[in-house]
Amino acid sequence: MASNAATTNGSGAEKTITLEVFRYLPDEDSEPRYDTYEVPYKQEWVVLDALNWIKDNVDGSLTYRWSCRMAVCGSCGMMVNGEPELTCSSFLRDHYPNKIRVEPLSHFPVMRDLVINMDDFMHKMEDVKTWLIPKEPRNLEDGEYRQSPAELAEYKDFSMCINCMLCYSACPVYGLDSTFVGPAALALGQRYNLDSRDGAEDERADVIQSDHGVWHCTFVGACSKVCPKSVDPAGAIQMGKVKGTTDWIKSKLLPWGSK
Amino acid sequence: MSKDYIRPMSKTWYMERSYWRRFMVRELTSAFVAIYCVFLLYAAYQAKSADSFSVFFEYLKKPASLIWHFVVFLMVTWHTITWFAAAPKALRVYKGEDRVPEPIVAGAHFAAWLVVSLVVAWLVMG
Ligand code: SF4
Ligand code: FES
Repeated sequence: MASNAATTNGSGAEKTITLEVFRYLPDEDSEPRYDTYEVPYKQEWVVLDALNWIKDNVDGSLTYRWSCRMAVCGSCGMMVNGEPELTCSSFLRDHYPNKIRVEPLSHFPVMRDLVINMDDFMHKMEDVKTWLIPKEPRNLEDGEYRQSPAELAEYKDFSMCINCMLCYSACPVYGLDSTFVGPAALALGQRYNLDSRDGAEDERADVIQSDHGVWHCTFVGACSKVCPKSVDPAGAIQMGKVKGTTDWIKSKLLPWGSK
Repeated sequence: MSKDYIRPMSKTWYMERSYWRRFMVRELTSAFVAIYCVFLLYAAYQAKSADSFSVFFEYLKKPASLIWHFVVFLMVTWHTITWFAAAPKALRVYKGEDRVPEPIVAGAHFAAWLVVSLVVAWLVMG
């Protein structure tokens, strides 16, 4: 493999790689099409660099989301040769010299070119209440919440989610039936349920323990495979099933209930 | 809004990605687990008398039965391997602040499986 040096030099022919990009213009097209572009191949370029090159040099109308370029903002997720990936950390060199097909994240409606409609995901996070709901109101004078490193460790993995939705694109259950709450929203629900400062597990259970919640999951496990932040949504969901089952057994067996 | 383009999943979606294919194979093996449970119940029923069991036992020795058992063995073994490999997802074990790594949790399952299998083999054959 070549070193980090640029693959072009004044004399030699420039190496290129072919990108096949999903295009859809809602006002003009009824069906999407694939446009093909020859893009300079650089050892250190990621798919997002190639898209930016196309936008700057060939077609300024190509539409896609991105921001941080460093796998933090979660906005650049797309299908790269059929796999959900963050395009800012998906290298051209992993595909070269083969062509790369870039499509919008699967299982979501396409608004334009590579931009998907994420309203459904936003609503799901609201339904699950993916924010901290303290056990009881607390006054400023009471000072800060204390949490031990062990308490932090319980939910820390699940809190690393960057809302990139790659897991939804990996999940066939969501693809077949979008009423499924889905991996990231359920993992984030678990993240707050496991937080020692939170007291809203029962409230969240209405959604998390419903037919559309953890019980809709058939444990394909693909969400955890594609997650760029090792959040392990599949693990969070199985934990939710275990918790739901033990709570149910307790509520049936113990006359004084589980609460 | 209404102009969003919807891409429905194909009828053979599970062939499209390797982890989906693996999932479907695993689902298929669970059918064998279920069928063999029914078969075991039937075997227990045949054990109601020594006579009926010896007739049943003769059937077990036939080649078709041996092939059937071999296939079931492969399916159930694959089911068990994938089940134990997935177990750490549901069983998150912590040692203080550190999560016990998944391979160790899975390894404990495999070790227990081995021990139980050896004990059963010793009981049956020894
Ligand atoms: S769980 Fe992982 S794949 Fe899913 S949205 Fe969060 S960071 Fe992305
Ligand atoms: S651009 Fe922010 S995650 Fe890729």
